[in-house]
Amino acid sequence: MDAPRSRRAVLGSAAGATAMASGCLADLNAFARGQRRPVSVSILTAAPDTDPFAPVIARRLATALETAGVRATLLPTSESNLWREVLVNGKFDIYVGRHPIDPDPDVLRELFHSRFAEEPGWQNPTGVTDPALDELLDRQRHETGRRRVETTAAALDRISELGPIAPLCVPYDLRMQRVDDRLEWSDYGVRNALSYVSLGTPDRRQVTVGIAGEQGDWNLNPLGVVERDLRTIVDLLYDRLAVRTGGDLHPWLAAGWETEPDGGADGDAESVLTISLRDGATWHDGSPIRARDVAFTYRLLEDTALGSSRPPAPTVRYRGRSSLVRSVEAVDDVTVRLAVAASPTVAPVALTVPILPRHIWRSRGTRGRFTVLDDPVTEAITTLNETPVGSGPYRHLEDDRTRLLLSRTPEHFLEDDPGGFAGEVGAPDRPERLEFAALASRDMAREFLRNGELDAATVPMSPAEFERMRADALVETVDTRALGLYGIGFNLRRYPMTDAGFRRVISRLVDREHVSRTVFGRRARPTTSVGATLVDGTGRLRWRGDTTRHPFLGSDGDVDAARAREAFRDVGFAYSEQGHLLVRR
Amino acid sequence: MSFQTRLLVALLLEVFAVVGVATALTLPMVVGASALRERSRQVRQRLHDSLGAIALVLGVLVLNRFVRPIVPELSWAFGIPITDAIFRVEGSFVAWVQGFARPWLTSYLAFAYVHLYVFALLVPFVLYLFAEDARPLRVTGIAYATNYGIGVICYVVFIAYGPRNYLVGEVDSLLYTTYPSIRLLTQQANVNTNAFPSLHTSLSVTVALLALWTRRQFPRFPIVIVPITLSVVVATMYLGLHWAMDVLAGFALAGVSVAIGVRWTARE
Repeated sequence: MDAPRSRRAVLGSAAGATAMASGCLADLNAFARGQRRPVSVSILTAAPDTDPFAPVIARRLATALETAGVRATLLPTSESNLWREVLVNGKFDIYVGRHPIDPDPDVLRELFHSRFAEEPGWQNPTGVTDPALDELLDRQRHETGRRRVETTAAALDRISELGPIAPLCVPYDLRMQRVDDRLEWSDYGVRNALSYVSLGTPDRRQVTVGIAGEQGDWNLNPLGVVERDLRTIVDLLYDRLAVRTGGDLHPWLAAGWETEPDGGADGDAESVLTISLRDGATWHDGSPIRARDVAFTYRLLEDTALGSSRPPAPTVRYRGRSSLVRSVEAVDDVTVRLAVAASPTVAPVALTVPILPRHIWRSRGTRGRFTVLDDPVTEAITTLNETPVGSGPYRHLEDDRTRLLLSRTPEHFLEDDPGGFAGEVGAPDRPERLEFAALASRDMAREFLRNGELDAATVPMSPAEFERMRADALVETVDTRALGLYGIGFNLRRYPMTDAGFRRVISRLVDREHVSRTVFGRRARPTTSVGATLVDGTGRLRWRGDTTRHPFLGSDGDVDAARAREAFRDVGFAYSEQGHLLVRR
Repeated sequence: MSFQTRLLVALLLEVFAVVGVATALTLPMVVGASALRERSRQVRQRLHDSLGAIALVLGVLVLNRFVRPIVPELSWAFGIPITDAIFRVEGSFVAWVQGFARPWLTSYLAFAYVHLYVFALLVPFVLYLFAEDARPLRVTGIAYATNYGIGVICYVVFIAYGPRNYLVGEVDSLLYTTYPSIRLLTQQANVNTNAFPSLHTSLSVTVALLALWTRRQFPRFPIVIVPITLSVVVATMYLGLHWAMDVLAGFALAGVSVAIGVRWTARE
């Protein structure tokens, strides 16, 4: 059941062939006699050093499962390891973690559509396959307005019924800064690159920000499975054609675009986007950004091997967006034509991917470095991209294991007022240099803010850490809205996680109210819906989840053993005389 | 230089200053002022006689430096996660230990965990230069190398998180909540998944065993070192860094290491 053991099982598969044959017979015999065995599951989660919340929830879940007669093993690991096991290797039973969820409802297609079930990456991590859900997820992207909202709501309803992920809480992100620091942050959220672009500073000085993370190599690959703080940094280095605020998309690297409906097969609405790039835009190495870089980027996202391998090797991020694109064509140096299999309202979502320089990435379609026993993947996905060449408002200056230093890009379009949204958002006095310091422990943020080494920090804090921070008169904290949520993910490729009833009972073993109060110190909103953070253009989508579907099996955080066991019996499970939950096989 | 590197250098200088002063005070007390003068001429000879053992320790340390970074990945692929099993055996023992927490005790044990530990590790190499023969130095070298060697193998084979990373909410990360900057120092050597066995325990117990083994020559050495060893051992648990099982395994590893050192040199 636990990941490393099954991995060794793969290694020893040749030697185990004969053993397997006899094992099959034994299973059949056991089945005929109605024999069952006690169920045990492992719970994969980040270690508390990287995430102050998930491991606490995971440990409570383990205790609750044991109360209900399920043997539960807690497996803490590093954040990068956690996501590698879940997203790339698919070697887990249950995990507790934070899911980044983009605000457009089309993200649900990426997370739950069966076409992505076999792909490694953020696309469909649980391996859920449901034809009815597929149909809804496919349909919403061809719709607009009220109809799309209704379809999305139906999809959320179906997802809630299937429960591949049991949503728990939407956290608030935290920013801490010195009270005497005259930094003017705007309201874009801690993990939004726009919050740095719009940051006003006295005399454009250097700003040092503490972020959570073990010290080590910086993964600056926009296509890699990177930790969440690095995503923000990578967004400063790589521009997208369009950026999002709430439900709106704004031209960014694109000066603008025109959307035309384009009939499409089977009466599905499709669109053609004609995109014009900004004049004179350049990469950080000085070469001009051309339309063919944009066309190349979409081809790379679809297949990072660029046709050199079978099967193709799509990216582990942006899969929902790249799969919307039917074809891409560089019309001239500054014009791109994008045919998108989505309605004109949904289609521009495809513009929110980082644009990559062709002259650097076209040689990265070869097999990447092997991490121990992982699937071979292309270098485009595994590279740490140590010397990133992007087109973003900040460029890479230098780094060591403890910090990463960026500086303003003099040639960037924000430097001479571009007008429009970009002109409004870019603060002329934003920092000349941005320094990100990797903090191995969260209490370091408090100490280093106190002694003035840090100007700000964006590390999440447990209630105890938060109280210690608040006790310091020199430091102030700001909560900002977060994208994504904490939840329990199930591996639907493994029994008994395949059983929707089993998953539903587990979802009911967590007291969401109690967790938001005690684990997050009330800096999180309990939820039962993966749609809790979605935003749609019409502003009508309000799907907060139906708490009656996941009522807690206990009170005030403590699971009621009798009720939990009753719930498992109700969905068809039995208990041994010793009180262990039994499964066939 | 980043501010964290600058702070790390300052911390290192501070630790070595403390250890230097402590060694300078200990030496005359343990060896005796006259013996110290008498035997200072033989220091070069002692060093020469134990070059092999010293090279062994340095070799293992250098190897360790290269192997350590790949240990977590190797361990995740091939190792056995045992944190859950350890928890099932000893439960919340470490949380009980932390029940005795007092600010002064935390300060002392943090000092023991960092400063006294480094002192205990270095002092045999200085002290045994003044021994009657080269054997204590050689035993020390072999015992240290064995500690590190077996330790690293255990770190690959066993994936074990310390109690502060497992009993979240029950066990406090006392060292790092009280002295956040210390993390700059400890992260140079410690990896979260390498809790079993406790090398802090095994190495400081190794020094205590060596001190007992050489008590005829240096009767005052155990008096100095045993309280330090006990402090370091208690500190590993009190600070939430190690389980009681890690500590027990540390004692066993120390015993094995010193036995190997003594056996090996007896044959010569």
